[in-house]
Amino acid sequence: MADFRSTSGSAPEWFSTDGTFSNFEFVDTRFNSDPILRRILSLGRKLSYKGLLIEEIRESDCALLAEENQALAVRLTSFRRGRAFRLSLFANADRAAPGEFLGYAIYKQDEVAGIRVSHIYEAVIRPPRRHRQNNFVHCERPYDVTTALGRFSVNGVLYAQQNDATFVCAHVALRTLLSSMLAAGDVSYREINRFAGVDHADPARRVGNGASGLQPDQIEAVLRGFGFTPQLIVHEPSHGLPLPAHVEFQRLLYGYLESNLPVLIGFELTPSNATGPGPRHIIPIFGHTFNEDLWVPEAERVYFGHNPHNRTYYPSESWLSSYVGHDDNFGPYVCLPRHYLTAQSFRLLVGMLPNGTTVPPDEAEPIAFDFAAQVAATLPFSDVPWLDRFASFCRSGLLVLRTFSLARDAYVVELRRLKDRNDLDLEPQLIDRLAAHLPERFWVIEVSAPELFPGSRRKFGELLVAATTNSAGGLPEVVGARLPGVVFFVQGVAFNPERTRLTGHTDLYSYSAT
Amino acid sequence: MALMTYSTKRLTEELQRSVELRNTAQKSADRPEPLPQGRFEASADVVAYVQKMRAYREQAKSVRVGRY
Repeated sequence: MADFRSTSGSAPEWFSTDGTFSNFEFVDTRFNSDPILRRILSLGRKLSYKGLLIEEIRESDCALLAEENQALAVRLTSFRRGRAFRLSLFANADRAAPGEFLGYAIYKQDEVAGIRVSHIYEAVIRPPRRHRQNNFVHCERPYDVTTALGRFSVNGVLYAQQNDATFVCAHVALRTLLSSMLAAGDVSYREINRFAGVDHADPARRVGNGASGLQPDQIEAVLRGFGFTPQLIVHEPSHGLPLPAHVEFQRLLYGYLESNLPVLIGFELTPSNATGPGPRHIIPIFGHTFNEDLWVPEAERVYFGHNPHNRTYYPSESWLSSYVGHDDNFGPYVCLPRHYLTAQSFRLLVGMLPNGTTVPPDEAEPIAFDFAAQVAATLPFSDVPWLDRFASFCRSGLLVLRTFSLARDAYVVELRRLKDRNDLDLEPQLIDRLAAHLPERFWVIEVSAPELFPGSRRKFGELLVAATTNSAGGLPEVVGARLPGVVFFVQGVAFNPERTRLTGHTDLYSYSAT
Repeated sequence: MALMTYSTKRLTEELQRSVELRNTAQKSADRPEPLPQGRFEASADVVAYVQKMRAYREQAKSVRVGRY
């Protein structure tokens, strides 16, 4: 189906946006002072955009636009027509040499009961900050766009805004989440509505515009319909199910996010005349910022005694400063400070387990720490200083653990890459034997120290926990481990350590270099 | 208030002990000692935590509240 990216636009107009060009004036005079478009163009300023191409996308050229307009005509009898414009942002001011493609936005204007209402149907903008600025957007992907100036590609996370008629906040959150996981890179609202059981012609099964949004089980049905395994963490104290004591939803959220999978977070708003009683909103989270100089991890447990789980080790999430996501009401790439959303307003977390995984990350991590503690307690003094340091940090309750899911093949590639400061690596035959021993996918729990992890981004090694359990009710099993100078082959409850020449600390795992 | 926590104090002692042992061992041992095989069983604390979270997740399957 021709969509907004594959359709070459009509009536192209080029604007040089350097010099005296004003985003505000432009949006006020051409796009009805749309606040999200203003936000998108301000992100363009962060990316130093200097050229802007505007094209109209006609219904006759774009089957997706025709489909959306038809859905609106069914939902709203007063709907007359819908128009769409594509705004493409470039690095250069010269139309003949536009330079790097920085992203695009689809502005859709609908005429309903004689009034023009608009929203950003979709936008993909390059994230304005990268690893160097301690921003980690795990879920971006490339999007190709065919414009009047040619075909261009941009890497980003798809943003979309609800139209409050045929799709609402849960739809656009699901679209962001699915677009970052599906091979096709996008999904239509017609498909989402099919799995959610939404029927625009049926007043009892509509959404938006005086009707209501999607229920959690509809969100779950959509994700299952697309072949995923969602895990719903609910916090409903007024319905008899609060989160268990001492369990922070941010810790659970991070466990899913760090495996390169986006999450949805739902929360209750403060009731007002505009929203009515008990309003809720849901947004996608797909990255985080990292504060390497943070005071919080130490102060949390030393001064204030928060979070009893932090007393035996530091979860790496402690150094997280903000979560990065989209909020369709405010625009792309917004930051939520780690502790801003409290249990008072948090209600729903939708996390995704990687394929072939039944063990959640919050089970794998404590099992791994238990293993580390047992190894540290039984290790004799060794001739490997970094192994001794691991044991000392572990016995003192000062390890840092970072948990994520990895396929065996990716782990083996990582093992072959690892080198310590003496340029020593793992013996190839040891890697081959470990690869033959490991299951196809497992949880990797990186082990580090407070002075290694946030500063030099290095670690002692990794603990490996099975992604599935052997039996119903069984505990996840440790399947292997690597620490300075030693690799552990674990079979059932027995572990067999073997020495390796790689005796120093090594780089943390990274999903991408940018 | 000056504060050296139990954890930090213990870590300092452990690290210093390692240095002392390493200095002694280097004089007496030419070959590294073999590392011992071992058995791992999850602690009662971790088993209790996993069971608590599993019970919560089971209960949560039937609680679906609100619209988004």
